[in-house]
Amino acid sequence: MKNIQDMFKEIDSQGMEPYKALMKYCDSRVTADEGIPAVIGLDDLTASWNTTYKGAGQDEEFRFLMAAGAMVFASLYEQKSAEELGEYPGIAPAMSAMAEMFFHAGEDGRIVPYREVVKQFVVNQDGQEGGKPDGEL
Amino acid sequence: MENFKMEEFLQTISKDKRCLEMFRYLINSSYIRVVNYHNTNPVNAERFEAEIKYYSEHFVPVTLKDLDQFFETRKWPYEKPGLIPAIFEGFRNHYDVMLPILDKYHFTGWFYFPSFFMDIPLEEQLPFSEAHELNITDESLYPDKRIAMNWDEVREIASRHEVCCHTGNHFQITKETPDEDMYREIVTAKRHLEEKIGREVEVFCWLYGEEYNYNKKAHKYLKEAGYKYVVSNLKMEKIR
Repeated sequence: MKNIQDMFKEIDSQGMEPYKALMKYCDSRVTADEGIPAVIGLDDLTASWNTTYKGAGQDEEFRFLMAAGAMVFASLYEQKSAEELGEYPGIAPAMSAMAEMFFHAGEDGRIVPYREVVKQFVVNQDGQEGGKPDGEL
Repeated sequence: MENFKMEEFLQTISKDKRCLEMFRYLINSSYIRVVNYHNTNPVNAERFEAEIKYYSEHFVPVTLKDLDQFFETRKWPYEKPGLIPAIFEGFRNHYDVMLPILDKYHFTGWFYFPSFFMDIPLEEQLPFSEAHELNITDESLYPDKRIAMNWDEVREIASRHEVCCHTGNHFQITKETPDEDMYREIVTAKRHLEEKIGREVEVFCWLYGEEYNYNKKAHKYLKEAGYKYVVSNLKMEKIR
């Protein structure tokens, strides 16, 4: 499984283009008609602020990639103007873009993007059906 | 190629405390995956089925009991991560298209209802939806003009899926919302939904992603109503 260091090395070598391409794909989704993935926080306001949790075994390593990915997207969305962002803070579309790119850890250690789930229903920019996102790392 | 600048990156994300909050939720394993649905028209049924089938193979469905257990034990009770298909607005096409798919794959859906929508007379449902930002994408789907579920359909959903309150009128509650409107959209909406389905409704979901602390004026109504969880587009907060 790729780790955070690998991820930042790739960003160093490829730049932010894969992330920007994925944001463009996210903008093209029809939110009224399609399933839109996201990840939301779970917060117990009745518990102490420093409560710690243990997640699903399959996410044990993957959560670090999700966290780093979310912050990369957040930094890109935060650069957009308030007009472009509309009612939501940059972190909201960032969490959805992150879920698109880092949907879950595959059994083979791959990062599975959400587009793979709906690959036969997605038309790429070249007009071909397929699941490989322009922004896949 | 645009180079990545770590200092700029860190400065940008530290501008908004919500970024750091989300970072902490992810690192602290206190998060859940959701996939948000609005219209589930028959034309997309094949796609929805592919999605739900995929979720059933790679994730576990999530019930409110699972969340209660997670918060109580501070440990996710399954090897696989959980995923919530969140289905918004109480459209009839949810019952006709999405419900049979969820049932086929034994996957729990979370249905978010504006609880007064189901009472709107048929002739007025479309104008109501237009006036309340309930965005119908196929107006021709139902010649009888019933675009909202009826209460029998809601009750059937409530018998095996999670039912949540999404205000009464799909109403945006702001800091300036008068008390009587807040009461109607938070408290009356919950009680009405509960009366119709015959069970407690524990989840309230804002419109446009406000979080619990955004609107302190609303706290007394959320507490008076007796909600346990408040959902925004960034988090689900347990308030009691």
